[in-house]
Amino acid sequence: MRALIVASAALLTACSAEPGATPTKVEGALQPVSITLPAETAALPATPAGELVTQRCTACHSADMIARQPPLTAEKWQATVTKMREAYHAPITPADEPAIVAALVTLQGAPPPR
Amino acid sequence: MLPRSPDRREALTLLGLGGAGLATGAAAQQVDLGFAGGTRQLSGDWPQKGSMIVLRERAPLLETPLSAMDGQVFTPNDRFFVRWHYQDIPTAVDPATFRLRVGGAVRRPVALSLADVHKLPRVEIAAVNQCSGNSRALFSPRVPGAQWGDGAIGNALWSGVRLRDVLDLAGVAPGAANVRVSGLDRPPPGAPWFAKSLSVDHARDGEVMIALAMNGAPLPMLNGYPIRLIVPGWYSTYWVKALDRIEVLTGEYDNYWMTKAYKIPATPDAGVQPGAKDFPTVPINRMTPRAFFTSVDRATKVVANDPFYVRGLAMGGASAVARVDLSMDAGRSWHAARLAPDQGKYGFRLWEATIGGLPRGGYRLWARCTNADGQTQSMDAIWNPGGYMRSQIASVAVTAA
Repeated sequence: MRALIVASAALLTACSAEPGATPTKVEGALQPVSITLPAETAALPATPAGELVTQRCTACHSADMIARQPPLTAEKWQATVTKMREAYHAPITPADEPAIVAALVTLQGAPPPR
Repeated sequence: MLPRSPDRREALTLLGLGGAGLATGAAAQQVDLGFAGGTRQLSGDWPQKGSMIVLRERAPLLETPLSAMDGQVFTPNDRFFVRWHYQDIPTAVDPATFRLRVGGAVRRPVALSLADVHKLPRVEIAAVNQCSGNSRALFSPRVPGAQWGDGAIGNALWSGVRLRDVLDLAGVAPGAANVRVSGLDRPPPGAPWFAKSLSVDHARDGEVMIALAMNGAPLPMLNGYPIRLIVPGWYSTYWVKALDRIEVLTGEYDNYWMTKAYKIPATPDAGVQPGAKDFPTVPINRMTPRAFFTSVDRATKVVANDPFYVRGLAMGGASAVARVDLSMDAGRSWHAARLAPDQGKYGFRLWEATIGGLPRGGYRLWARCTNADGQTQSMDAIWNPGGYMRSQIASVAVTAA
């Protein structure tokens, strides 16, 4: 029963926090807005592999996106790198790809042989 | 410990140290999302945002802790998840000079000021905004992409104007088939512009709208200030942020973002065998039912033989939440949870239950949502290579002691 009362109270709070949204109120609130994004903190390890990936990939992706990928095979990384070149026109050539793929695999630790 | 080459865990450790090193004074809080590599920093450093789980710094991917949604149907604006594709995102907007351009197969192209948009009839709708890849990190086997937990989702009361009314200001020309929408974000050189399309019929259905406000306040910049598209019941990829261009097309929109990205298997549940390739696909579209636990963690402890209270949120997807059921025997029997008042069929619905006292031991509690169309969640997980549309029944471990 107490639980029900708690829930009802929460719902009432949610309701009372709702607009008010009269058009004038919202319209009046649309002011010039500018934001500053926080400084980037993520970095890859200062290893040859980390440095290569930093150089070739982080113009578009912060390092955390790369480091947080699940363990991927070289084949999967190859597909991703090729997609970056073909679909997104990343400034890399097919000849650059083996080194990039190898570095990505190294960064994750070598996966078991398939 | 044996020496070994740098691995992923070490890379993450380095990242963590980097983060903590720069966050002077602020205690860097960590959260564990419950999958391998799921340790994340919580940060309050993002503009107009409270504490968010940082998945990616550039372009920002910020996840909402499920606990931040507990007990409320509407997700606070400052906790609403953030997802941008490209790093060149709008960081400054002057509403006085902002224009929404409507062109293409129309009778007369228009460039609307926000004041022009405000003159149209106002509508409001509660609707869940969920990333197509929400819960991707829970896929097994894992797939590449943004490794979201369950928090790339939120519900807001959106107020604004119908897309149909905006289109009618320009006058859709005969032969129009699709409507392309895009915003102020820009791709890197050579990359495809982020733009999506809806059929003209969908765009004109009276539900698809342009939001001027979110929960009664202007949109945070990171959620699409000054205006964004709202596509109730559909995944977030269509909800273009900082919407400034609408182009009516007489044919299909054949860019990368419609024909290659955000494609799902053309199977009833969007699932295929792990590793499958070369199957027919369709653009991702309507969402499916889901129920989440918000009051308890993945592993919760309760007092033995004492009733305990649990609650969460449910969404029906393309139709309203009809019921949420709980099971403690892996789905052999289900018991209805209480539902709080309906705030709109596309929005979250709060569910709650009191579970009778459990003898000492370990248990698992499942929560399943069924929508008004009879669509229900499955105990089985789907798999697809994009990591889209996960909607397996959620569960939590309960230890009574």
